Amino acid sequence: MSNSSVLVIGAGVTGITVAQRLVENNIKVYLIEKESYIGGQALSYGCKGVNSCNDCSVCLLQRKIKDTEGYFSHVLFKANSEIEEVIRKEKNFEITLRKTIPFIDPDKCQGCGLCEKLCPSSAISISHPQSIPQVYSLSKEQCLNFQNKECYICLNSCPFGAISFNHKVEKETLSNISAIVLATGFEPWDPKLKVEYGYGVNKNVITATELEKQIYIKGFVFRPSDKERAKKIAIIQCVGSRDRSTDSPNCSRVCCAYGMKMARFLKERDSEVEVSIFYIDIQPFGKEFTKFFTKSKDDYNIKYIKSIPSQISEDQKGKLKIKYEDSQRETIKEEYFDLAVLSITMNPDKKFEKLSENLDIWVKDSGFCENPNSMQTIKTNQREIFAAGACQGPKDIAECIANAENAALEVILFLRTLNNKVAKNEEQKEKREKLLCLKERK
Amino acid sequence: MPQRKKIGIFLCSCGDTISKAVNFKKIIDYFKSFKEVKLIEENSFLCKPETLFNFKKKIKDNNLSGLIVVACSPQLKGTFFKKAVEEAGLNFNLLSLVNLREQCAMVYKEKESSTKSAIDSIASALRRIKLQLPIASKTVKIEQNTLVIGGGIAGLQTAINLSKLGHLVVLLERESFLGGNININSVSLIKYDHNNINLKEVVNKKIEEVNNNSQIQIFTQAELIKLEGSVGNFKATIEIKDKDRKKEIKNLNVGSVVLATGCQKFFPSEKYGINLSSQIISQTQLQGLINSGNDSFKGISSICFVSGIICDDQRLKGDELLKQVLFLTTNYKIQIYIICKNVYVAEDGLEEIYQQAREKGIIFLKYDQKKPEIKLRTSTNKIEVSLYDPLLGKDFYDEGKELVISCDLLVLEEEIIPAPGTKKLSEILQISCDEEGFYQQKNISLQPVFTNRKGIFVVGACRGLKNVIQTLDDSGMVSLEIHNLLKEKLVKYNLDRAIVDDDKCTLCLTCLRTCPHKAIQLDQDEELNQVKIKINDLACEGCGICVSQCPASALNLSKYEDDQIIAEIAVQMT
Amino acid sequence: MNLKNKNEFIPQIVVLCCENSAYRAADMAATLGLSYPEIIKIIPFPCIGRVDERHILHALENGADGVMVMGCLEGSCKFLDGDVRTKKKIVYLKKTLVEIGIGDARVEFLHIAPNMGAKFLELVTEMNKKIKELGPLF
Repeated sequence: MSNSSVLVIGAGVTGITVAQRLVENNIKVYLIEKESYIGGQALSYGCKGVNSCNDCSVCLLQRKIKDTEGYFSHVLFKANSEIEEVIRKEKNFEITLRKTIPFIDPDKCQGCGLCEKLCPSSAISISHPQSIPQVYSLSKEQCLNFQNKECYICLNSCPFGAISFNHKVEKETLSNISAIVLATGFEPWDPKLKVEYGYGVNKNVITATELEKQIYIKGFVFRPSDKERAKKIAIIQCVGSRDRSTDSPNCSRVCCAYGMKMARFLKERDSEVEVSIFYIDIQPFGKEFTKFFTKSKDDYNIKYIKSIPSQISEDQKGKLKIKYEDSQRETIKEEYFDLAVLSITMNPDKKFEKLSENLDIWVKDSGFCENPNSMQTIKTNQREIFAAGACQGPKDIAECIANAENAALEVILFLRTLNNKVAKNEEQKEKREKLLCLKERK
Repeated sequence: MPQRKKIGIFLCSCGDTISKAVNFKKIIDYFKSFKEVKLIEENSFLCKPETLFNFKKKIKDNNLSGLIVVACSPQLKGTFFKKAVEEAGLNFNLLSLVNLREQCAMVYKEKESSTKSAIDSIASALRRIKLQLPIASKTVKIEQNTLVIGGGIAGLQTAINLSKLGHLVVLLERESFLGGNININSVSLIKYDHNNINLKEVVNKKIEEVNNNSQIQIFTQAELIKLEGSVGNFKATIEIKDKDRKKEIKNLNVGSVVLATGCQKFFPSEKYGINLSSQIISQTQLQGLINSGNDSFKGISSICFVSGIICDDQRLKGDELLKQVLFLTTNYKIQIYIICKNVYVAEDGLEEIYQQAREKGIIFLKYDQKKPEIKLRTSTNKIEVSLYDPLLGKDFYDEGKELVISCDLLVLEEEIIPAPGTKKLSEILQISCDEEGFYQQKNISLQPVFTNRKGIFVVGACRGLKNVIQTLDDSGMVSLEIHNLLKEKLVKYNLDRAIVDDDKCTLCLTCLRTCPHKAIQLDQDEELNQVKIKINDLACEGCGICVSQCPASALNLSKYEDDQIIAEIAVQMT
Repeated sequence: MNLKNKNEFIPQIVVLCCENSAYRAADMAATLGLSYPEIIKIIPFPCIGRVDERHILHALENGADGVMVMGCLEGSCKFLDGDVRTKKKIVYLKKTLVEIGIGDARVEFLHIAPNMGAKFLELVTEMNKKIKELGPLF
């Protein structure tokens, strides 16, 4: 038990939950993450409540991240790292990591913000306002150094020596890895594939993630074309799901919940805003679903239109024309909106395909991780490799947490069978007592 | 209250971030004249190892009895500084953290404002720290076993997981057999999904595993009738019926409780306005017919399913429905109509099954606002369902243009409601339920498996969750949570919980009723022969709600005492 | 509060913050680069349910011109009903404040989530404006 370790790939909500549990059980954990910060995709989401909670579970991630303060010093966190090579040995893996160190090294950055203040071309900003660790990143496009004007102000003033303009790539080999947990998560589907909606061309067609950004940074919803407040908003479900024309036939599971909560949120913030949801079939979710659905129709006056738009076009003033079939009256309707929000589905993370090849993991047609036995979703075709969270398919945050915990349990049991150790030695008992004191129980 | 005389104030400039925005010199000049301030100094980065070493040394050398660290947000470095201070020999409650970075230096545009705010914050912290006392710790012995109530798939999986982690489990089942709904409802002849998992086989395997496990003690025909105590030391009273219907009472001491009581299907005749008959049946009854064999469908050439009338939530019904119809179409020559509002496809593989069902000739008709009407036409002995199909019917609002489906057998969906006894059990255990009667009130902090009481967990369908795969994930989570709680026989904790002053307490029981975690109980004090308020330290979460509700101010929370808050709250901007 | 004329009045606002929501929102406002209009004083609580009317009254008696009590959104309180309880207390307290002549606009209960940095600033700015119009308390 003392020599072997577990590699957790991905530090989103799933990865950090697994890491926390393993650390609590005295298991050595390497947590690797391709970005500089933990939190993954859900870090960009904002709370969907105004005065009352709409159960979006984004705060669960916030709490998990806050909890990391108590145990993160025991996790071997490798930011900006990816897997380069996997060698399978007799009883364990030997894994080589490739770390691309950003210009501001997050391992050394303490988040003091001095560089941001001193930078003459505003090339430095905080990586993510909600991230932990709070580290800064340098944008090549705005940095004077990369425009043939020498400037070393940040480099010279950083008290931690965290800045370097050399593109450093480090390799590190981890050995004695007894188990691997895949927690690579998802990335949003590319809405440009739904050509009819004109994403990327029509400025006022945005994705749900971009709407989130608007809300937590600006605090209100606006049309990107002219920064005016959006008064009539359309939320379009099933973009990239249940759609054979884009070769994505499966239901995305979490978008109905997401779209409905987002609609509620928009109405609660501003009751004068008109919100319409275009859908195929509403998929139920959470607790007290019938009540939630009825309330959103009756009390909030959200319009539910059982039709998927065939086209969205934008005029010069930025007004969107959405064409759809009004199935109630069998007519083609054209309605004008200020803003269209696309509820896009989830794709597996783009690095997952290569990773699955490296590790010899089966994947489904959709690209997500396959589980050979549907009763044990956290297992893969390889005995030592486990998968949790959205890398297996679309999942919401609460589901990912429960899934991650289950994966952690299986890893713990797996390691026990490997080591057959029943007797606990004194060293582990001591470590456990220390951990109990560190973890703040509130 | 003893006044602290030796307080140290350590200012962290965080490189330049804080010191550029706040006038440190003014702050130091202001405070160094205070008689209780033994030392006040500026540091560049307090969190750096070298600085930290000196910091700890200064605490020891100056024999400081109180400490104010003026730096970044306690949310970022709170635990870090507390640990450092403890290592220097000072109790963690003698440390006060002032958030000068995020709530002062970064948010005020003018240096004058930020300095004023800084001086006020530090002065407030100074007034408060003089009233803060060291908080001791205590060790308590706990029971390391778990009571699992419910022998269905959720309970079985939790018991198995816990036993694998080395714990002892007592499993209670109300019926005389294990397996729960999956065994009763027997979705057995239909393969679970495209991966062909037979749920009944899965459950039977788990029953076998549990029966052969020496760490799991099973009581069938057993129910929980009373639960006292709190996390780590619950006292459970169980009533067991033996073969002669005689009742036996058993008392158990357990460390935690898991509720896995499941759900039930209920046919709401009142809501439909229809009674079940030989031609109008429920989904469960249909399953029974399927299980009985080939002759069940003699003379039936068409079956119509209607769903979505009484409930929008199609989980646990929608996917069973798809599998039932696929089975029927494959094995019988029956025309099947499905009249529904929304098709449930949100599980793995269901979209494919939906596609297959349509390819095999099953007709799906979706209605929207107007609910379908059901009539029995006695002349033909067929059931007629009339609905407005928006895709076919023109002039939607015209009468007489409805579509009428005629069938031999009508199958109506049931409601999924909590299992019988859920309400009673929630009262025995003092845990809150949601509006549909399932456990766990609607609060995001309770997701996924917690209840308002520490040490009591909920798994599976009884929490309103209607998905077998998620139930298994929940079981894993609960096992790890319990493992964390009950790992050690002796649990050490800080005495920063609510404390009652018996002299002031009038036994009005307001605290007992308002504590959301039910951590406050009435206790018989043997020595004084009187009843007293007892706060269970392990169950108390330190929220302070009871403290603010107590009319006699008899309760206090060590880290957030009234006089401390009042000392800090005064504003004195110079 | 010493002042020469009303234009120099700087409102003193005390914000009682729940550590799980409002306090973190205040921190986030800083990382987003926002600035407060005037000085505010933030007092953390483990749960906003810990807030007693006496704390608010004491703040008003000792320098505060306005008090904001900020807790979690309804249905997301970590301790389940702390926010609802304190909200009720504030409603009652406001009636008392009207009776004694202070009026009900100086004390407010507000819901906020931990990642609403922009909203925190919005609420503080609104309160600041309101109190400025009302003038100093004493």
